[in-house]
Amino acid sequence: MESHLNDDQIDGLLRLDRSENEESTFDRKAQEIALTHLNACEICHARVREQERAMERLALLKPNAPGAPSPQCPPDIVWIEVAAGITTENSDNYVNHAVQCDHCGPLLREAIADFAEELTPEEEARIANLSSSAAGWQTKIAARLCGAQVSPQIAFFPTLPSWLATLLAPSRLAFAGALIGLVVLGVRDYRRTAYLSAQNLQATADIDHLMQDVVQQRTNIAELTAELNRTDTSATLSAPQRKGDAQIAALVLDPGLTRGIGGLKHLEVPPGAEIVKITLHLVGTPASVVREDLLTVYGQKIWTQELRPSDSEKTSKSLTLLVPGYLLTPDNYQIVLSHELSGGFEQVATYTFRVDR
Amino acid sequence: MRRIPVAKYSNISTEELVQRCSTLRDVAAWEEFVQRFHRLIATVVLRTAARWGDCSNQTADDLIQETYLKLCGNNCRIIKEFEHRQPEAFVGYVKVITANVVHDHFKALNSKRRGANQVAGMAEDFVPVAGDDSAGSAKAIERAVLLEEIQRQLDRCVSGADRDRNSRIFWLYFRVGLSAGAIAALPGIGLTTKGVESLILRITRELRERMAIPKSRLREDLKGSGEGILSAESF
Repeated sequence: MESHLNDDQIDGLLRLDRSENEESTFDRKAQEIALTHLNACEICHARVREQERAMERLALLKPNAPGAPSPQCPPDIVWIEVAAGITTENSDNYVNHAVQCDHCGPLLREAIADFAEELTPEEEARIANLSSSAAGWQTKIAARLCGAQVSPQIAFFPTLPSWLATLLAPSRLAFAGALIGLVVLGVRDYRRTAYLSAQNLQATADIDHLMQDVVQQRTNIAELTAELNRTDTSATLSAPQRKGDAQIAALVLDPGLTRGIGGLKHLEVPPGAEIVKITLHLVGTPASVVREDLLTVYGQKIWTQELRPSDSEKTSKSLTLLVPGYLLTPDNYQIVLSHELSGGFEQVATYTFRVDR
Repeated sequence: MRRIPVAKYSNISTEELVQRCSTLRDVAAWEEFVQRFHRLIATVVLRTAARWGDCSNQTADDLIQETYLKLCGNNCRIIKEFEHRQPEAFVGYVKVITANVVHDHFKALNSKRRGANQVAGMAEDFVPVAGDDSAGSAKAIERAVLLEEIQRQLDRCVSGADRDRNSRIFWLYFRVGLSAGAIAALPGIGLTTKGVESLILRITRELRERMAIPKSRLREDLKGSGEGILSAESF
């Protein structure tokens, strides 16, 4: 008796039983020999029968119907992507899940079957019968797809070189626009800063100039005061005079609130008058130290000075007050004269006048 | 960009064709695109629509047109976003877009028929009947025993560094029902169709032999070796 059936022969017999259409190297002659031995040999018969049962059990592994989904199942779209060969970092895990899940396994199988490239003759015929398979339909849809495509840079410059197209990409244009905007803002800010710096320098120069004027006026006043102390200046001056470089306006006042008696004394301060010389007639002999306060009609003190009357002033019973011209804007003013006593000053006379320009 | 004569579009690669379609207003490029992908799109539409129970020519034509418009929509945004990592990847991409168009269409259609945002009432004493295959049913328990038994036998058949991969291939073939070619195309397999076929044949032979060993012989083997009690077998 020939030897028992080998694995290849058993494979051939089992595969032959399962599907006659499958390609096999197990030819008809070999099949006949194997079958003859199988019928004659109880051992091989039992062996093949056991293995046939095992194959039937393996066939039960494929579920007849898809199972219910579990919380671990990924979305159905995953199986479409896996079947289409679109791989992600989780693709391996998805396949591992599919082999253990009776819900996802069939979904993967269906997706793979839908994407299979081989077409049955029925499918070929159906596709050929579709309206969309006609050349006219395809020409129309191509024109529609082309028309639906909106690409401004391509539409206006269809032959743009790739480097230029890259250069004109919207993101690059937006970046360039933002950069230009920043530069313009920076230049404007720089120019504004430069303008303000120039203004600041000009203002500083003006202040310096005014300070010099004030110093000059103080110098003039000091000189005039010193000169007045040397000479008797009781004469009334009504017109501006020049003393050095300074224009002087003058006024002589008597004590008392004169508005109700003889009318208010007016001081005409001509344009350019830098110093106003006010001569105050005294009721008695002045003290060794007197203080003159120039007040507005509202009582606000705008000028004050303390001085020691000269001998001539004591003799003539008059005091001269030199006030910067810019202080005396057109308005009513009071001069309060005080004598120094022990412990402070005592008000002794009040003079009132009005300034006109 | 250099303009190519219409007749030459049939010779350029898919990647280049797609690039021209997405960047140029060129009807000829789109005509070539439609010619090249029509068969693929139509096949996926017909098969997927058939799963939803509607495979009329009218529906198929509408869905094919919808797929083209989706590919071209938003100034070819979908195409432009696609990364051309490998030439055949775009084909897979078109498959996914087409299948999604069909699924979305029928989902929306069913939702409209059933009435979107409507809630059906349910009696308080309603108790749903468990299906034959539901968890805990006799069938489910029987299946769980079968799976466990095969897994145990399989663990003895596969070993080495590729143990997990080989085990996965076995289950993809017998449980999921994929062909050797489909398994070879899956990510993480790393074998040709022939390689998968050879592996499946080897594992199946060994597993079949193990499963075919009569219980009596197994008991004798275990007695002889002095090992413990034989675990319960269902075959």
